[in-house]
Amino acid sequence: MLMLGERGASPEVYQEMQKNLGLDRPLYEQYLSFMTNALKGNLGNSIISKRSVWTEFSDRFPATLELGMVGMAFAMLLGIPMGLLAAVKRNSGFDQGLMGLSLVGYSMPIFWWGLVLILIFSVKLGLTPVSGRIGIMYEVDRITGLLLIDSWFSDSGFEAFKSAFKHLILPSIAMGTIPLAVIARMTRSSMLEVLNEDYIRTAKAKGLSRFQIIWVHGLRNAMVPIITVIGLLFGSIITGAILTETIFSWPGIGKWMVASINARDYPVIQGGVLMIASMIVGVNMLVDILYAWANPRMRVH
Amino acid sequence: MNSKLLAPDLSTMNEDDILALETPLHPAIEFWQAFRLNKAAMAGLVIIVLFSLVAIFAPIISPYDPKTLFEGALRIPPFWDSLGSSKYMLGTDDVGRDILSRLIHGTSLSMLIGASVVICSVGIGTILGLVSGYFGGKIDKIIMRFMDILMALPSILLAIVVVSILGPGLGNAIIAVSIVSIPSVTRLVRGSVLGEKRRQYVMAAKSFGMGKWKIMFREILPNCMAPLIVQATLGFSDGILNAAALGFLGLGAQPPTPEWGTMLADSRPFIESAPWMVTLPGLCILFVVLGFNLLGDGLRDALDPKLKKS
Repeated sequence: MLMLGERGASPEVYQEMQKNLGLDRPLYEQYLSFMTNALKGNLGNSIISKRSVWTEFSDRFPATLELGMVGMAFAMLLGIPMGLLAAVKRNSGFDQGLMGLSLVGYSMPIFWWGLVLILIFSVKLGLTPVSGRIGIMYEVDRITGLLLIDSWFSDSGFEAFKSAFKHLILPSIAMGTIPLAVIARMTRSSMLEVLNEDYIRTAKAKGLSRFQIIWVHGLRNAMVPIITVIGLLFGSIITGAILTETIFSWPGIGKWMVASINARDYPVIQGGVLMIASMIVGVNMLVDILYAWANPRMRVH
Repeated sequence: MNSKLLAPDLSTMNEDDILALETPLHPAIEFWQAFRLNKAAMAGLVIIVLFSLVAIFAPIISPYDPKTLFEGALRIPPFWDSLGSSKYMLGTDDVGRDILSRLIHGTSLSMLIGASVVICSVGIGTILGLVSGYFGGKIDKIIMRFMDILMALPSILLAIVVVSILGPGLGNAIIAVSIVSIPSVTRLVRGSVLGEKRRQYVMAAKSFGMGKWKIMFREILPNCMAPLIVQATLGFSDGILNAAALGFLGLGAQPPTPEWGTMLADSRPFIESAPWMVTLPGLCILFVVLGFNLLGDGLRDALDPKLKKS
């Protein structure tokens, strides 16, 4: 109703709107109808765009998925080897430096970090674009929704892929920084524990190479807590998406949620929050299953 | 382990030495001795003390009023820049306000936000955790399921939802961030209570006929303090960070309040022409948050050897 502005609406229009939006019915009835519709897969329509919340969500989800996956890949590909190296070279300069850096990364306000990245790489060095997913001159048909894949099938092929990739670099670094710090710390502490185990001593006694001991025997056993942490990081990825997408004008669900809140588009807020919460519950369950698979001892509980 | 430490040679010691061996150090002293050796934690403590002093003496040390507009002094760079002036040490923003003064007042605001969030979330979370852990049963289930619901949403999103219901503003942002921080405190306290309530001192208190609430607050709570203090310290940094994020999204403190996150949001259009407007508030957030995280880690190591990370 606030959207009608200062003058407000005439009583007839007001009642008409109330009826259309179902606001004249009692609260419990509104809640019940929302829940039954939601269970049928109908999350209602956006007040602003009039399109169904589900369509709006599925339009934007691939952008967030792409950003999240690349950000997590960045965090894992960098975090696991660094944590491993820090554990092997315990108390060395590298170890201490890395742990200090990871605490800085963990404390990083990513909404500022994103701006600093733009300042350095886009404004000062001119290497990367400031916002968006792909250069405006490329027209990419939607196949999977993931531009890194779809761009190959467009007319410009590799050029479009390059543009999409360049657009992804800064947002995924901004988004992956906190996961990177968490993963590096977790890998280090998990690996330190594993390196003290008897089977590592046995492997050493067998005369296995250092490489084999660390990467095969060590890392495999250290993976369980790392997998758990990666699963639990899912929530912080969504948080990261909300802030990162706002900074880089990335057309994903994070930016969508913030825009809907500013526009007071309540059906979108309700539906979006419900979708995100269900995804997080789903991922947590998946982690539990993976956990049981990676660590048979846990299956009893 | 040094064998001398395990079995001191009593025959060569005088009475005072033996007595000193027998009387354990006061916990506070013992804690300080462990804490002092942790360089990172001491660094965190220094950062926080510095920022706290700035926060307390903000009206005295800030050169100007944070909301005063200086005409003809728009976007002056900091003093190290060739175009900078010593009149505005850290430069001015797009409407000619002194950035140093705004940062100093922002410090007191952020510290106040952090403190309010910690007091609210630790206060409510502790009560819920104590009740949940001590009584168990249905109350426990209701409280914990509610906490699970709160935890199913990422903190910023939940805070955004709360603000979207209450409306934007600094007070509402504090409420939102506090609500977000309650579940971790509740879980922590409940976990400690479950461990403590079967201890003999609780049984003894029960057999004296001590009231339930008195047992919970006077007997059990003091024994759960160590992890709670750590959580409160880390809660400070989370609170400041989340409130700044809300400010950045335009849902927290509203302009012209000199809040760091809000200042960052205002500075975005000027990232090319006035980069110092972007870098300085963010650095303040980073340092305060880092300080509390360093302190929290150090406290955990010193207070709770069981939780000590390798």
